[in-house]
Amino acid sequence: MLAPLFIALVIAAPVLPDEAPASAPVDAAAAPSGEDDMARAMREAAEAFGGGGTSETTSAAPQAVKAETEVYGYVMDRFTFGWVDLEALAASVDLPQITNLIEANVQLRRPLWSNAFIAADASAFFQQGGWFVMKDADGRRVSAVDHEVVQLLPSVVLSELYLSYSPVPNLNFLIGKRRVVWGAGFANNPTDLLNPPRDPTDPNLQRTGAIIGKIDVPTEYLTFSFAFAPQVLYTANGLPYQFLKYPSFAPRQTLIESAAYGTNRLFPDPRTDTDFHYIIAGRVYALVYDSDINLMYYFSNRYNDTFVNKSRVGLSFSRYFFKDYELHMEMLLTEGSQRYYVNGDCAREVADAIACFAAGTPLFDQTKLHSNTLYPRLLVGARTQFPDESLLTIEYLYVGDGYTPTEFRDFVRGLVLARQQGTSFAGGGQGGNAQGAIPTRFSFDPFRRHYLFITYSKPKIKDDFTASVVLLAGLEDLSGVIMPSFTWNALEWLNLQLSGFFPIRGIPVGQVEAQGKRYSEYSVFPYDARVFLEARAFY
Amino acid sequence: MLMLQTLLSLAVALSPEEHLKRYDALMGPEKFEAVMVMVAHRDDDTTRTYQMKILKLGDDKVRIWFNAPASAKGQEMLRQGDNLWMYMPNIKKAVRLASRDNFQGGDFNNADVLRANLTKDFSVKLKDGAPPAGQVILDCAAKTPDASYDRIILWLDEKTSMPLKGEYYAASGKLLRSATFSDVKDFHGFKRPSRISMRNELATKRFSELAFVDYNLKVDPPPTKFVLDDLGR
Repeated sequence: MLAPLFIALVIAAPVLPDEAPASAPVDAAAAPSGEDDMARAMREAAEAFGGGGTSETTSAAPQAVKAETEVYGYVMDRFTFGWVDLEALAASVDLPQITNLIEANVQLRRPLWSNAFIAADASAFFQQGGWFVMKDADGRRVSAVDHEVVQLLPSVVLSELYLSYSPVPNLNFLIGKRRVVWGAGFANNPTDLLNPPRDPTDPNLQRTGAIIGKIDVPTEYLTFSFAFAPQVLYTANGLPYQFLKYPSFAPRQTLIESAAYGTNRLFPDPRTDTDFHYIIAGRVYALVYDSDINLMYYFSNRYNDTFVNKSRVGLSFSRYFFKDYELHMEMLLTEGSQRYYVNGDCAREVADAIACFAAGTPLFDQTKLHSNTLYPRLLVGARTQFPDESLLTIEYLYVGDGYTPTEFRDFVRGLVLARQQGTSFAGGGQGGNAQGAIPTRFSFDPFRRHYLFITYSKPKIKDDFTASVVLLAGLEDLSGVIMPSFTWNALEWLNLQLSGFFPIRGIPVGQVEAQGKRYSEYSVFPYDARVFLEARAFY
Repeated sequence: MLMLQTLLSLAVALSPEEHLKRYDALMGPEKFEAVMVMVAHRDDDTTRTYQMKILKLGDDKVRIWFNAPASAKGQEMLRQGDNLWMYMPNIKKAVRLASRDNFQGGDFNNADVLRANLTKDFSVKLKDGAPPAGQVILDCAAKTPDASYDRIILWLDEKTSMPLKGEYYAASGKLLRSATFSDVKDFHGFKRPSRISMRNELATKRFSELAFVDYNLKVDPPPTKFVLDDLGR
């Protein structure tokens, strides 16, 4: 409902007279022939920001912000080849081995008057995919029939679209869709309950925010923030159209998805309640002893999860130590867990599952939803830049409600049983697009308790080539993914990247057994390998 | 007669501390807004160009907005006290930076641009030996671990304290960077070098040039322009 209004405001917003740029910059003439890089850049900067006055006769009035719409963005093409693992526990029926994704992104920013602006960040996605595989009756790997996959349909993602207004310097109102991140983590933000999750292997890939109304009261060393976010329950063509409460009738999207998935769901369809879905957040930021400290409080009701009237508290910290070492910490405390646990008695053999089904005992259940136990999710990390400009980030994540070895064994057994019954787990980190969010290469949904993220990036290994490697490792079974990449900043406006994505899951440590086979966490991951070739042109 | 001239010159000569204060007043006045361009010349003879606007308030509040290249558009930098952050529009959040990290991958470090107040971070004396005529050479030693370099040698114009060149050293005594200051311009009545060339002495084919397109002292930004939550607005 708000989107067309915002877009109309962006296009139609008048340039107010008092916001017009100061006198024409003296250096902003047409490009002279033969000008060097510096002269050209100075002329362009004068045009962009106003200014260029170098004599006493030039206006000495402060340069006003140029009240013109800034438009920038990029066009990206990503070709992906992935070798699907047909033995994985995650569903692979809708995973093409070859995909091509084109993203056209535009970001707009338009001052309305001196203390207000509207901004937007939107992308259109065009995807193609093919070469599906399956097992034939003899268990051989064969090509499957090409078919339409909902996740590959063209889409529009409105990552951000908001109005920001500061009536006085110490007060800011924001309304619209905006990604608000308060935590200090890089690969993962335990305290982020508002936004679609990041891709930990490249946090840049997810810019989508939440519909939010926010008030900030900043002072020099303290900021108080209050936010309210209604959950977007349905979107159509990338635009949200149902907020807060499910309608009493079945919306179009429910019908489409029901047709696509039928009743073949491993977990219950959550779209059946009559509650209001929202989250309220309060946060205090303080700059104390050169440290960024955030204290957060959340109260939510079925906002992106099944918790009802749930309070959660968060804390984050970031500071430089010993000149060059940034240390950070981020923690969220939650009473109870919304995680699904498998009833171990039902998961030993098929017969046990059938007996449980007959008795009405669920195989998967949220057994800790109402628990009084506090489950922390804690991330601790450090980052440093070496003299050769290489950058190293190391982060450890503790997931308090993650599966114990026994719970993980039962979970895997449950997945194996479900798969045998023709119901697969549509997850496993293969990426995709969360509702209304940018498609990512990898999604991180931790099953267990201890994880390590290591990112090392070495720029200028040759000209403008940057080599990077990201390791995500589960520390209990030493499974994970490793993602090397080479990026070439071929031109100031063009990046080319070749990257690979390889699961690590064969190390015989901490594995669990299900029906005679050994599994680690990333046995769920449905690819043996993925290779990406990406070109991104900025404008 | 000669003795009288010597006495007179001693009477008008500024102390090293006074020269450094005048240098700070020229290179990092209390309040200003400027439009800058940085051209980084790399090993392969190609260049990368950055356009930015910088706003300063007091001794320790600086903010920078990047306009170009397109891949850096929307990025912002903030200094508050000893703290530096960079706002990354792609992740919609600010990350902390170290003073000694390279400024946008060029040959200046972050402190060269965002922490231009040497009096606060360095103790100063005259360098041993005779300076060239009309110049004074300052030997600045870091007095805080947060200083951008461990030692800086500055060649200043004796009359105006306008910088002419500089050498920047690591604790080991290794020369890291050298700078030349040139092209003095009058920006709305305020004269200062409009171009700084910084050479990376560890990779001597690389150097970066910083040029001021405009420089305006008549600004009065509110302190809330220099808080973390204002980045991205």
